[in-house]
Amino acid sequence: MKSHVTKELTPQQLAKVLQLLDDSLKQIDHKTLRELEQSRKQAVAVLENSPRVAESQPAVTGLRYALQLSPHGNYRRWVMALVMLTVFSGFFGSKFLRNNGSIDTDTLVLASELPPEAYTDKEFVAWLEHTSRL
Amino acid sequence: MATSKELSDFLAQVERRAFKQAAYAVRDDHTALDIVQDAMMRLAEKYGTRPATEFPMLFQRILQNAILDHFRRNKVRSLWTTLFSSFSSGDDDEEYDLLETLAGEGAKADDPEVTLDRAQTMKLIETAISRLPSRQREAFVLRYWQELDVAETANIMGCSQGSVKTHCSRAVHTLSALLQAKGVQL
Repeated sequence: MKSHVTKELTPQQLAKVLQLLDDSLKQIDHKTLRELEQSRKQAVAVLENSPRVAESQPAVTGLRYALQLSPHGNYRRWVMALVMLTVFSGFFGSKFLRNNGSIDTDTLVLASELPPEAYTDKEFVAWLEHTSRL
Repeated sequence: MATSKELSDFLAQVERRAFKQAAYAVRDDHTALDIVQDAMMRLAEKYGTRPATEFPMLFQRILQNAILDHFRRNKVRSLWTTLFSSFSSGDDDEEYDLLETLAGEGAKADDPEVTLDRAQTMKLIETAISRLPSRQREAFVLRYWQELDVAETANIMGCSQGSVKTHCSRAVHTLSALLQAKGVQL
């Protein structure tokens, strides 16, 4: 039977092997390097054009844009928002008041024209309360 | 979230090693380029928005998968097992006597006294690495060349830390034997 003795690589030899491997990186031909560069650029372009990035960037930018009062006319947005808020609150507020007020007014008008006997009629009082609720 | 500049810088930093790593595995520069390009694209598409600190591990894993995909796609696993048949019976974890198989090569090897210049030594080392059994090569490249720790290497290779240590040990042993057989003096 044959007998062979193989020496394990010493740490120094292993380091030299790794150093030579590192050196081999400098020996890669220009054509390959160009293709690697091209691949890298394509990958970066994919990231830049990915929907997640495209969606997230305007949201962040928009938030920053809205929150900062820059000297580039952003205050107009705030003024517009305040005007819109005033208009909407005035519109809905007046509508609310008008609705509530109309009930009270109707009750008052109706009550002012009722004869005193009406208040002693239990059925009428029940009808009046039912109508007011409507 | 990583910026496109961070991605670009990272890829610029690792692309050469990745190319060599793939080339050692597939033994074809053109295919290696395709694999690296594929890995870069996968990283950008699927993990581009992850923090840049996660890129090294993710990219290594993607690269390893891309290499495996290449072999699966082309169904050439038999090719490398045939090429490595002189070293092993096809199972990396199985014990084998490398030195007996190298006896023939050793006889044909250049005279050990011949001094090889640096470029030749480099070439021989690269050839030896490309001839390592796949798992040994992966472990060697990731653990020693990429300087990942055992846990990271195990994570990328999808095996236990004990297996990584075994593969690394065998890789060094095999490499040493191959280089000696070629008369490489380090």
